[in-house]
Amino acid sequence: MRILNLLSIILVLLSLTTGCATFREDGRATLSKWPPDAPVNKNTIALQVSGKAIANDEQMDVNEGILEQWRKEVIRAYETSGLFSAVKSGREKSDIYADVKISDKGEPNMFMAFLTGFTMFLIPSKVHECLIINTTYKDQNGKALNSVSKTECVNSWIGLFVFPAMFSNSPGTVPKDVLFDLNRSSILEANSKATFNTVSRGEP
Amino acid sequence: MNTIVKQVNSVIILGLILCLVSGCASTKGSINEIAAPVNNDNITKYGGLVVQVIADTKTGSEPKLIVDEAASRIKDRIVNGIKKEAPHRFTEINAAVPGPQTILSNIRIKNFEEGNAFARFMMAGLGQMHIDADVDLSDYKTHEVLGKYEVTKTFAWGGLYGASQKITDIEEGFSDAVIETILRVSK
Repeated sequence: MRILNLLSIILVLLSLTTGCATFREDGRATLSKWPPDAPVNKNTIALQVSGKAIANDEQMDVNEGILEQWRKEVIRAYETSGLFSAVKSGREKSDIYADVKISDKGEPNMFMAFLTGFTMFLIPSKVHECLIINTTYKDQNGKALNSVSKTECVNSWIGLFVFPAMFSNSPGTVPKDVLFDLNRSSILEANSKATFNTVSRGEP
Repeated sequence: MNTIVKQVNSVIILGLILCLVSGCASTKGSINEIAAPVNNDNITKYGGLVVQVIADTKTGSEPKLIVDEAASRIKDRIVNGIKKEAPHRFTEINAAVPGPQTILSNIRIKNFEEGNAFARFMMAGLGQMHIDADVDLSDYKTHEVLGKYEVTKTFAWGGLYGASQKITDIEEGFSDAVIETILRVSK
């Protein structure tokens, strides 16, 4: 009976190790200097953020909650860059307009996912997905100033023994970090091409 | 969490729910016909039933005491199951003095293994649970054979699910298969 009790405790502890963790792939964009050197005269920028998810070449809607999280990360990147006098959202009057299109593209194996659940996580599932950011900068007249594309891929593991990894690789925070970094990288690239200096001064 | 991971998680939850709902351990055991049931048009004349479950295990099975206890549990499950599934089929089951028109169902457990929960956890297929029995149906009075069957139930799942299941869980599936056998012959 004692052995059975011990076994039960071990099984309960093992079941508590079930979790989902997200890991960034190597080859992420390097950030040369953050924040970059701020110009003397700063422009204002208005951000238009949109998103979509593509699973196995099939486009899906991104729910408003996730889109709102993405939007926050984009705004955070532009605000912390120190390059702009104001970061606005939507179509507010501004010196520069940035159209940020975010794609969450992956090829999940739904059969494996089903097996993971059906075997009570004995067989783990891996989800490989790439976050792609296409940013187009325009001036007040709608003329395209520059366009930057950045991509980073992440792998999410769902199964037994993954729980401890969730503290450092939570699926709730890692994609946000990736988005923040991709946007920072886009800003640095656009800034290095003097995209934000070429705009005629407008009303702040 | 992104949309794709959320979608995958919903499929995982579906699989988990199906696993829990399907009750893999309690699914019905398999029935092999050893001797075809007699073509007895008067089978409905049998109004009584006697259920006997005896432990007659070989080397390698659990100790006889454990199998005897299991036999008692299985007998109760079978009797209760028949009363539930076909409440009007038999007027008496396991009467102290069986009437002349009674079917004797003799269930002889020849293999009974509780397996090993830890081995099941480590890998599906290891530490399996087995209950195998011969089910002989005959006329209680004349001993005329009404049918002979072999009923087997095996559980080989692994992981947490495999480890969490007990022999009593697969006794349910085994008993269901015996109930089906008895009702099939006596219909």
